Amino acid sequence: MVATVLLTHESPDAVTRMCDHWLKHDPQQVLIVAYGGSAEDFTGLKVEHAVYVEDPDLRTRDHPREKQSYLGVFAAVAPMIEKLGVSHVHLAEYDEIPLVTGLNARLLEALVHEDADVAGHRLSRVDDTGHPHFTFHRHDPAFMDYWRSMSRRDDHEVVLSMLGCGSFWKSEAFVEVAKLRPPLRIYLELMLPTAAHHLGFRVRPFPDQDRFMAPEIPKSQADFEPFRKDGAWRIHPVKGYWSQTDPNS
Amino acid sequence: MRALLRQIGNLYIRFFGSPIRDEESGEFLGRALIVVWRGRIHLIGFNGVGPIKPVFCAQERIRYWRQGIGFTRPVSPDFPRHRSE
Repeated sequence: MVATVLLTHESPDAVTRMCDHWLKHDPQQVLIVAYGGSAEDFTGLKVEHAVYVEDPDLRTRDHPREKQSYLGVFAAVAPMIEKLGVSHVHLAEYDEIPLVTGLNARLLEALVHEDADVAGHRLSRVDDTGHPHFTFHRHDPAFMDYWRSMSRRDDHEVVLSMLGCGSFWKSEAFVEVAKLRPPLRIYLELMLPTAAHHLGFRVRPFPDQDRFMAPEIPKSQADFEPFRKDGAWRIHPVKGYWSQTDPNS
Repeated sequence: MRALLRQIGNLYIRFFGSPIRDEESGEFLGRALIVVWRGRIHLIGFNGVGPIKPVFCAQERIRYWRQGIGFTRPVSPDFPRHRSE
């Protein structure tokens, strides 16, 4: 059984529309809403499984510069993952829209094909490169010291980068990463894949889907059909889609 | 204003930036302005996709007086599982 974790801060009505849409595309999945909006709106959610994420490290404006973290999301969701007994977790943001039915079966197949524990978009090895997130973090010696202190691998110097959105996890890897408490804030795009790697999990890219998930290129509903025809499973980012009264009108 | 400056910069780099090729595969990686300042090489406005890393270029014959620095892509992560403890 796959749990789709939907990370959102939108209104309760928008969350209901989003969940209905996801369930329509795959009725077998368990939806867990990880809510980063106001506590008042959280009480108004009409969904079966939801957790409130209090972590201030999630609530950043300039995400890379403020080193936005999803560890609070992982920590809030992990107990529910264990309680529900799900085997895999798909981490989706509110601006990711599924375009095909049976999405989780495709994600699962890709994970099996890669013999991976975690699969994600735009996965790269970034240590010793000019990747700006890496060079920014490396300025603080505590960053590399942390990986050296927790790594189970022989090479402690590997740093990976991956989009947080759309990553797919074996539950064991998700829960283990959720237990980590690094002594410094690490941007989620570095933290999630690098932590999984140094815990000994195999992290691999999703083949042929990165171009549909590029965060720097905003998309709209007009892109859905061309993207689907081009082989997209999901589209990201589509801002404000669920906030419309009827996104399908 | 910021977006406008970025667009002008991108346009400038598209026309006047140095082409950067992978030192190992020869693949075109993108363009950037390469500026040397105070003993450091600054890569400005690289417009390719994905991270690149500097490497000293291989040379056909031995030269003691000049070494070139180029760029390459890191290999895609493909590490085996390592869970035994």
